[in-house]
Formats: sequence, structure tokens, C-alpha cells
Amino acid sequence: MSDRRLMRSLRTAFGVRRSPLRRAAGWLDENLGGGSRLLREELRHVFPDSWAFFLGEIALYCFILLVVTGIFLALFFHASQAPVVYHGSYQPLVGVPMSDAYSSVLDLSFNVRAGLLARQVHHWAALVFVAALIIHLLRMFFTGAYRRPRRLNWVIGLSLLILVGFNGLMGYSLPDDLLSGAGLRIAYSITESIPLLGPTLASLMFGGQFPTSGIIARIYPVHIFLLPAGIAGLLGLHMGMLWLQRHTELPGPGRDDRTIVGTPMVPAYALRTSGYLMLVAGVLTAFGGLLQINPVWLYGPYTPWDATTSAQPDWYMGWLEGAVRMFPGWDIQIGGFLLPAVFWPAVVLPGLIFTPLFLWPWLDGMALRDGAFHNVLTLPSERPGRTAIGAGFVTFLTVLLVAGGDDVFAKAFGLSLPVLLRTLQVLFFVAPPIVALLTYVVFRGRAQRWLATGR
Amino acid sequence: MDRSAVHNGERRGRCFCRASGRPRLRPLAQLCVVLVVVLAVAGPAGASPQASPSPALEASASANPAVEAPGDPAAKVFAENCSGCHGTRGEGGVGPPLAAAGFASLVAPMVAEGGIEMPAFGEQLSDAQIQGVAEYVAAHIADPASHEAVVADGGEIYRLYCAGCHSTTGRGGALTRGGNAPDISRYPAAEALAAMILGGGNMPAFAGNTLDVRQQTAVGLYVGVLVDPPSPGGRGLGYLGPVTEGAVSAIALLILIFLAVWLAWESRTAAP
Amino acid sequence: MSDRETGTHGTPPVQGGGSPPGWPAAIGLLATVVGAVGFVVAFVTNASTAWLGGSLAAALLGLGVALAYWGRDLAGDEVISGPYPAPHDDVPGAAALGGDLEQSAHVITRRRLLSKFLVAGLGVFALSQVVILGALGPRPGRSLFVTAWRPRSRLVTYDGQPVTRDVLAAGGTLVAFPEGHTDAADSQIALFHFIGGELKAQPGRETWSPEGFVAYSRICTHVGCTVAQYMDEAQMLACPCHQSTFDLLDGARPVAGPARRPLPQLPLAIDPQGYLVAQSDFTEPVGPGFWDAG
Repeated sequence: MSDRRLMRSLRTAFGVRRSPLRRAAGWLDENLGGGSRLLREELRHVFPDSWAFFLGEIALYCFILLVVTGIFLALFFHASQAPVVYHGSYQPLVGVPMSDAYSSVLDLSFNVRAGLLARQVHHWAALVFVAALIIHLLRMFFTGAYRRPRRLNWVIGLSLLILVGFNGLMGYSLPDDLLSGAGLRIAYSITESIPLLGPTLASLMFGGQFPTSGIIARIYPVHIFLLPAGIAGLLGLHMGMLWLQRHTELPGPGRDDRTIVGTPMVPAYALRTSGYLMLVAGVLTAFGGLLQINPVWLYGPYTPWDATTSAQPDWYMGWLEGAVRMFPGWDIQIGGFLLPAVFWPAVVLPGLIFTPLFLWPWLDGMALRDGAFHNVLTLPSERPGRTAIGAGFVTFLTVLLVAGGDDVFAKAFGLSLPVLLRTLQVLFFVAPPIVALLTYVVFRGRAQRWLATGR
Repeated sequence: MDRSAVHNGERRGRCFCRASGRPRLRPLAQLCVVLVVVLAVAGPAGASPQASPSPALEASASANPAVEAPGDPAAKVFAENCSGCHGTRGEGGVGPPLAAAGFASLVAPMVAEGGIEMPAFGEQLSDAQIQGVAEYVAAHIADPASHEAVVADGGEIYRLYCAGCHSTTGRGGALTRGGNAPDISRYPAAEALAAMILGGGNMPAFAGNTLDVRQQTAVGLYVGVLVDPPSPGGRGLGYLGPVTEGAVSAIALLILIFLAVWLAWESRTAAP
Repeated sequence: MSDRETGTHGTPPVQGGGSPPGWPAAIGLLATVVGAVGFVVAFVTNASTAWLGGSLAAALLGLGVALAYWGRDLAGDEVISGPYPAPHDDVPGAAALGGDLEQSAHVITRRRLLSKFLVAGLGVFALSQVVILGALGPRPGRSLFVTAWRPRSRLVTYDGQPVTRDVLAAGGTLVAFPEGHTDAADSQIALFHFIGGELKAQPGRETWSPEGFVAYSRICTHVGCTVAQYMDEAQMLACPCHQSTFDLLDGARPVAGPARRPLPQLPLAIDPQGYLVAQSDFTEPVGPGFWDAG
């Protein structure tokens, strides 16, 4: 500190101008109507520290990377299904009729410098984005961060997950390749299966009976503008609330619901989080440069009479795919009308999964009769019941996820596909309660030890 | 800054003891070293012009099927090695007919490496002999219509008839009642072509009435692309699609979580 | 959890002293510069994606290591604490806000009837705008119940060649469309030829399979994927999407997988010139089920 005082007196003595940062602070204060006191406090904004609190940042930085690479891609992609005959540099497709959209993705991949890099970074970032969101959500769940006053933020976060999932689905459908085109057909049929309104809804969504020549053009503004705007808006709310309410903290010395202990934002936290942004971008760029993803030139353009095996959506839709594969053909005839079986795994099941998730803060509060404000987290070992329910839920989704790729797993591990399917159908019912029970027993033991000995 | 206040011998977790605090190669630095090494290896391997990742597709050397040079050594090689199974004029016998063998690029790898039932001739014939007999077969034994095959047509037919079982990448796939449609990228393309024409087991036959010779050859050419597909984007990750890609993205997430653990490692405010 | 222990494990604290060694950050920044230059070189020379991505990644990771390392070492320096926003409801504050809101709204709410009209008007207006959704696409109408097949439509292959009775002489399968409609996705069929009498008779469909030729829709009745997996020995047609499997000898009824309805069969005939033709369109909707299909 004495250095600074010395410098200051020296400057005053010699009439030297203020440093750039001081001048900037003065300018800000003038133009923000005297907000400098608030800004000064916020420089010292306290961030509790734990590796587990970086998980949301992985998601945030993936989003930034997606927007940056997405802008680049949008400058080259043609969102049109107008038929063209390919005459580009990829020999095995020369002379093949395809949509302008698919052709523009081939050009991006083979002829635009850094085009393939941008495509691959974009796709890897999307996969990691959803994974990070889910891990972040699980961290919230297993530490009780959703409790009052953060219940609304939990709902916002869950909505973000849904928007991001949909945006990813639309994103990988844009190239109009065989794999994603089959996915659009499935989406159309699932919509059709809704009672009463299904066929009309499907026709409205797609602009007619599948296949339509306008679906890519329709998906495009949703993917590059509508959903990202929604995501950005909700994200702003999400982080704004985080800022106002302060981040939760893990239990420890000097911490209680009234006192937050942590690192100030400037300089340590700001440096680390900007460093983390670069690290996330760097890892994803390495993946995008070195590991091939979504080689659409091998899949070929979408035509409704082609098909491929090992056909899965991107991993985060795998649970839905698994549910559709495992659910038997239990069509229901109601008088002269048909309720197709796929309605249950594809429309009802997601509702059954997300509704209790949305309501969880209130369900948890009611079950524990605890509507108080909480700023200190509870560790998984302190709430064995919640941990067990979470573990069972994760197991349930994992069984669905594995079922979504059952033919690939069967081939890769030399298993018989019908046997694997039957096994997974049994595990669907048996595995979640067993895992939940085991988790409860393990964590209840730890909880009791913790209560007794304090460690 | 007094580091002794930071490194105060606290116990962290179960695996690390911050006893000495001496500098050691941090996990992140290890990662950097690994990345540099990987780049040093992958760079030259991947450094090629972006423009044309397509394989070279040769036309047969001599386009006139009727004229054979007298005393052509390739004809002799054919007569001695191939006609026993494929017939003196390639009409078939123990081995399949060679009507669709109109491209040396289809024939040569098959002769050199062999297939499931066809022996390999790479040991007993020189490279020049193999190339010579391949061009001979393409020019004089194969049906002339075979020369008109275009790889892109083959791709369209492949995606219409073959990809449903063998996948667009040719890696095969599990069948719904057990068993697999085989990975056709493991053998020379001519093996898949022969299997396609003859059928066998659950594999249907796509003979002359279903697909004509030109179409059959085109599929053979396209399978040749799948045997060694262009991968300008880097390592191919097995060509099994989004399942593998999802698994690999989990690895990326684990790396990032590891980095987060490293970031928060030193922090005194991190809870024990 | 235990309280934080400070140097009580019998190990001496580090006597390094001073600022942290700068070499990790320096190496990181060096990597940043090398990576950035490398990226420019790779871009200008049109190098492969691996070089472009690798150099860019090195630059980003280097910067990340430098910043993160700096910040990480500073993180231990300063521990501050502060107050959380009041952990209990600000009851007087919320009450005051509620009162203010009520007062401001009183201007409208005191006119009870008019307020009801306002709500009703807004509601009707909002609902009326839903009709705009109708611009997005046509009502399905009969489109889901008809394909491009007509009586005496000739079968043609994907490249327009008419299908004759000798086409499947060696076995196998053929994909066919109505003549002139090789782009009609809903009309695609898979043609088979069973000559040994293996075909089981389907009631009411005795004339549909002339000379053992049988044709089924290729659109899966589960969720509409193309049923492309023909297993010759088992005489099954399976769908690669969710593994529905259809018995070709028994009216393409599903024997495995999540499909429920058989693949619709196209009634075939052979015309006097020897070409395969359709007798009529399918007698049921092709593809997945929907409400009105029952």
C-alpha cells in the first residue's frame, strides 16, 4: 500500500494525469448517473469457491462458443431445400441431386477455410453444452440449491435445458442429411400421434404432409434467432438472480444463511473465470480440430426412400429414442379412432419426467416441511433420501439412454440385439429402485456417521 | 504474497497430500504437454490441401475390350491364377463372375489382399503383375457396360438398398433378430460386390435383373470409398454415428471438470 | 465435515515466499503467441482442419492456462465474507409494494363492470390471434389417406424403369414407385417374389399377389422410417430406426419391435405386356397411425 501512496504523492507533486483506469472510472460515473458506489461494491462481489460451482460456467462458455461459431456458419449456410445437383469437390457426391442446404454444408466442410473447424467445434460444443447443463442441474439437485429463494431460478434453469435441447435438435437437422432427416420424420410422426389435433399440428409445424420442402427454412430462424434469443434472455435472468441473491455456499466455518464467505470477484475470480472461458474454448477447439464429428458427406442427402442403421439422434435425445424403442406397440382403438402407441413414450413420458422436475423445489419443501430461506447447501450425505431419489432418477434415464443406442451397443460388444432389448426392458423397472435403495443405505450410513462424529 | 500462508499442509481429499508444496508438473501442464505431442504427430498426418478429399478413381488402361495384345503377360497371369476359379473368360465357376470388374481400382486390392474365400496373391505376384492383371481384367474380361459406372450413382444405390443394414458408413449393424450385417469396410470393395451379386444367408442377391452391371460396378466403386473414407475432420471415431460422439463428448466434459477441480484447488475458501 | 485444519498434519508450510513462479503463465502465453501465429499460417496456407484447430486450441489453452494460473494463485490470498440478502421475507417491504400496486390498479379495478369487459376483450383478442397459426400449413384433409398409386399404375424403379415379371428371378428385392411419381415419398414399395408357395393366404387379398409377387409399403407403421432391412433367409423386413420386424410371408405383420400394424400391402396385377401394375391405391393409410386412421 505504501507504494501506492508514494506514487500518488509523486504524481500530485509533478502534476501527472490520472491513470487510465481512474479516468475510466470517472467517465463511467458521469455516464451512469453516479453508479460508481454500486459498481465499487460489486467489484468486491463475493463468490464462494468450489470446483462444483464451475459447472454452470462450462455451459455458459459453451453457449458463447456456439454463438461465435454459429455466426460464422450462418454466413455460409443456405437454409433452402431447393434441389441442386452437386458439382463440388467431394467426388462421391458429384452429380447427385440434393437440397441447397446440404450442398452448402458440403461446401462449408470442403471449400470454406476453417469451415469444417467451425462446424465441428459448433457440434462438439453443443454436445458438451447439454452435458454440462445436466451435470450442473444434478449438482443443484444433490446439494439442495433449488430451495428458497432460488426456486424460480431452478425453474428458469430447467426451462433453459429444454430450450437448449430443442435448439440442438433443430441444429443438427439443418444440414438435411440422411441421419437427421430420418429424425425429422420421427418428430413428424410423434406429433401426428397426439390425439385429436395430432395430424393438424404436424401439418402446421411442417407446412404439409411429410416430406415438405419448407421445413429447413422454417427451422432456420428458430435455431439461429428465436431459441438463442430465448436462451440468452432466460440466461440473463438466471445470472441476474444469481448476482442479486448471491451464490449458495457449501457448509463450512464461518458460513451460515446470513454470511457468505468466498473470493472477491476482482481480481481472483474474474481472472479464473476468464481463464476458464479460454480453457473451455481451447478444449472444444482441440476436439473440433482433431476429432471428426457428424461427417454428413458419408451420410448422404436426405431422401425419404433411403435409410441407415446405427441411426440415433444426438446423445441428449437418446433417452427419448430409447423410450420409443422399448415401448411395445400398444395402440388403443377408441371407437373409430386410434391412439397410437408411440404417444406414450414420446409425448406423455417427457411430461412425466419434466413435471416433477419443475415442481421439485416445492415437492421437496413440502416433504421436508421446510419453506425457509437457505443459502448454505446441504451435502448429499446429509439428505440420503434426496440423494437416493436422484440416483434412481439418473439410473432411469441412463437405462433409457442405453436403450436408445441398443443396436450400436449390440454390435460393438457382440451382444444379441433382441436379448439386449429384453434386458433393458427389465432393467427399466428393476434398476432404478435397486440403485435408489442401495444409495439410500450407503448415504444413510454416512449421514449417521457425520452426525455422530462431525466428519 | 506469502505462499506459506496458502500452502499450509492441509489435507485435500483422499488422494493428495499437500505436504511439501514443492512445484510439480500440474495436471494442466501435463495436458499441455500431451496436446503439443499430439499436435506434432497429428499435424503432419492431417496437413493436406482441403480441396479434394476424394480418392483417385482410375479408369481402366485400355478401353477397347475386343483387342488383346498377343502374348500379353497379364493375360498369362490371368490364365494361370484366376481362370481356375473365375472361368477362362471370367464367366464364374467356383468364384463369382467378373462382369462387374470394370475398374482396375476394384480388382487390384482384391487380388493383392484376398477376400473371405479368395486367396491373396500379394505374395506370389509382384505389384506390377497385380496392377497389370487388374487392368487386363477391367479392360478385357469385364462387361463393357461396367466401364460406365459412376461412383456417385453407386452411392445413391448404396443408400437405397445397402445402408439400411450396413449403415451409410459401411460399418454394418446389429440385426433385429440377432446377428449382424457385416462391416464391409474390412475387406476390399470387390468382396462386398461379389457378396451383393451372389447373396447368401440373410443377404439378398442383387443380380442382373435387379441391378444391371453398370449399377453393380458403381456400388462396388462406392464401397471402395467407404473402405477408406475421407476424414478431413480428424480421427474418424469408428464411424458408428452419434453414440460414439456422445461418449467422446463425455470425455470432453470430464476434462473440463478436471480443469475446474484444478482451478479451485488452491483456494482457501473452497470447502473441505 | 471437519473444520479446516491449518498446518496440523505435522508437515511444515512451504517457505517459498514471494510471488508464485511465473513460468506456467509464461509458457501459456508463449503457447498463445505460437498458436496464434500458427493459426494464421495454417489459414493462409489452407492447411488441414487438424492444423487450424490444433493451433487455435493451443492459443486458447495457453491464454487460459495463463489467466487461470494467475487467478488460481490469487484465489488463496483473499478470503472475504459478506452478508447474504436478508434470508427472510421482507414482510413490511413486500406489504408496502403490494399496497402501492393495489392503489395504482384501483383506477381500473374500481370500475367493476368495465374491468370485466377489459379482461374479456383482451382475452377474446388474444385468442383470436391463434388463428394466425393456420397460415403455417394446410389441414391434412384426405392427404394422409391417399398416395400416388392409381388403378393400373405401372411399377417403376428409382430410375424410372418399368418392372417386368422376370425382375426378381434370382431372388432379392426391388424398390418401386408408381410410374411418373418416383419422387412420391408416401408411395414407395418393396417388391418381393415368392415362388414356392410360401406366401400365407391373407383373407380378402387372394388376388393381390399374382405369380407370387407381393408389394408392401416401405414406410414403417411405427414412426415412419423407411423399412430397409431385408433379411433374405428369414424373409423378414425390418426397420433400422427402432427395430420393428415384419413377416413378409404373412402379410407383413409385425413379429418384433414396437410397431403394431402390418405394413400396408399394395394389390398387384400383371398386365398383358408383362409389366407389374397396381390394382388400386392402398386400402389403408400408409405409415404411422394417427387419430383419424382408426
